[in-house]
Amino acid sequence: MTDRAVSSTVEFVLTLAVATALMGGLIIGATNMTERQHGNAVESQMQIVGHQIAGGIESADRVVATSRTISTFAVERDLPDRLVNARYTVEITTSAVLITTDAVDRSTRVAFDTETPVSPTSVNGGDLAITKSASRLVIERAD
Amino acid sequence: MASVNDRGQVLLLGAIVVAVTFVTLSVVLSGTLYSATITKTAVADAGSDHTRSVLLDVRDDGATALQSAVERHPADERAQENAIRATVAALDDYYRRYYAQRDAAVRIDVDGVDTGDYVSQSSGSFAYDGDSDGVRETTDWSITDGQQRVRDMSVTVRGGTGQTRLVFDDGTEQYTITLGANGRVEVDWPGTGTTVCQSSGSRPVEVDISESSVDGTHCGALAFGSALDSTYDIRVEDGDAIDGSYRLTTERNARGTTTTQRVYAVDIAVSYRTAAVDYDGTVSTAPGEIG
Repeated sequence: MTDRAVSSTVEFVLTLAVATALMGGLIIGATNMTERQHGNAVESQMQIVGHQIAGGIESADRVVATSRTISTFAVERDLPDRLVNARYTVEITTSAVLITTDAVDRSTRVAFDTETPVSPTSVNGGDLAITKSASRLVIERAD
Repeated sequence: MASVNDRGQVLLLGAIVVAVTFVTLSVVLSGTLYSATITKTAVADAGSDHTRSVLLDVRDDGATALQSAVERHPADERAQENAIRATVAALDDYYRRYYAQRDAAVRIDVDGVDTGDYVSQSSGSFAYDGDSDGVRETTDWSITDGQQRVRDMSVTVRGGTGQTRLVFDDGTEQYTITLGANGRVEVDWPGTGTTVCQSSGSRPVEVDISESSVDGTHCGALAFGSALDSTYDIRVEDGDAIDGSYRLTTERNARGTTTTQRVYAVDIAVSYRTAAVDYDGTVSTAPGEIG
């Protein structure tokens, strides 16, 4: 009586369908959550890297201001090649650092304030060197 | 062993275990990536800050060496310079050893010594004896012979009958310190009006312009040095209105009751090398410099 209209084949198929639906839902949910977390992580890293570069530029400016003369000045900053496995680009304007990456839609802008003029440039993410050339601060990829 | 009827439950449980494993792995992998990046950026060095810290240390030590040399040899500019060079050479050894322990190579050396005039007066009116006849007849006169900088400047008011003004003029703006015989000290900034540092006081009243203080009490209005251009002229107006003393060291030639040559500033060459920093430059130190 209790086994009426139920065969082992039907039971197996039903169980498999339920398990597949459950697993699919979980994977989809986890994927969305992971993507959101990845995006947040990338944006957080863009902010951190942007502030590190801006801070490095302002710090180099203070060295210039403290010095009476400078014949050589180069300082390297260790920065990641990728932000949460995504390549990124650093654009330096005369007053801000812009970090862009394909991993998120919007770029991150971090302003800085220096007395020494800064040469505008654009470089791929990675270790950077800040140097003083003539009367300007120059940012380039470290060798 | 599970029966045939229990096979579905076994598969269901297995599927749930697999799903949970997937989710856990994705969360863990994502977290690992995030953590790895944070860790790498967090250890980024602060090379410029360390460089500036070294430069400030050298500048402070250079100022101490200069002041010490001037105190030991107040009337001998050559002896002052020799003492400064000897002190900086000793500091070079100290810096080399100290920073070697921090994986940095630091060398310092005297790059140049600037000599100016030490101007002083111990008593009498603030007027100037322009014709060297022993009588201070010129009431309006300039201490600095042209636009320049000064350091370590203070005046002491001991008496008189009126007010004398010290005018710092950088060519575009004038900052005026008014010294009253009754101990009143006022400072006038262009555009912002007059600030009274001290309304009256028992004499003598000591005004330390380099330290921005009156009788040891800080007066922010005296800190106008940063607002001045790089060089300026210092004029005395109505110098016969007060009596007292003054002293200062000027960058170049100056006028006053007594003038002797004295070291004004020291330039120190600094070489600083670490794995991340390459620096060669100079710092200049002139303790108590106004501006």
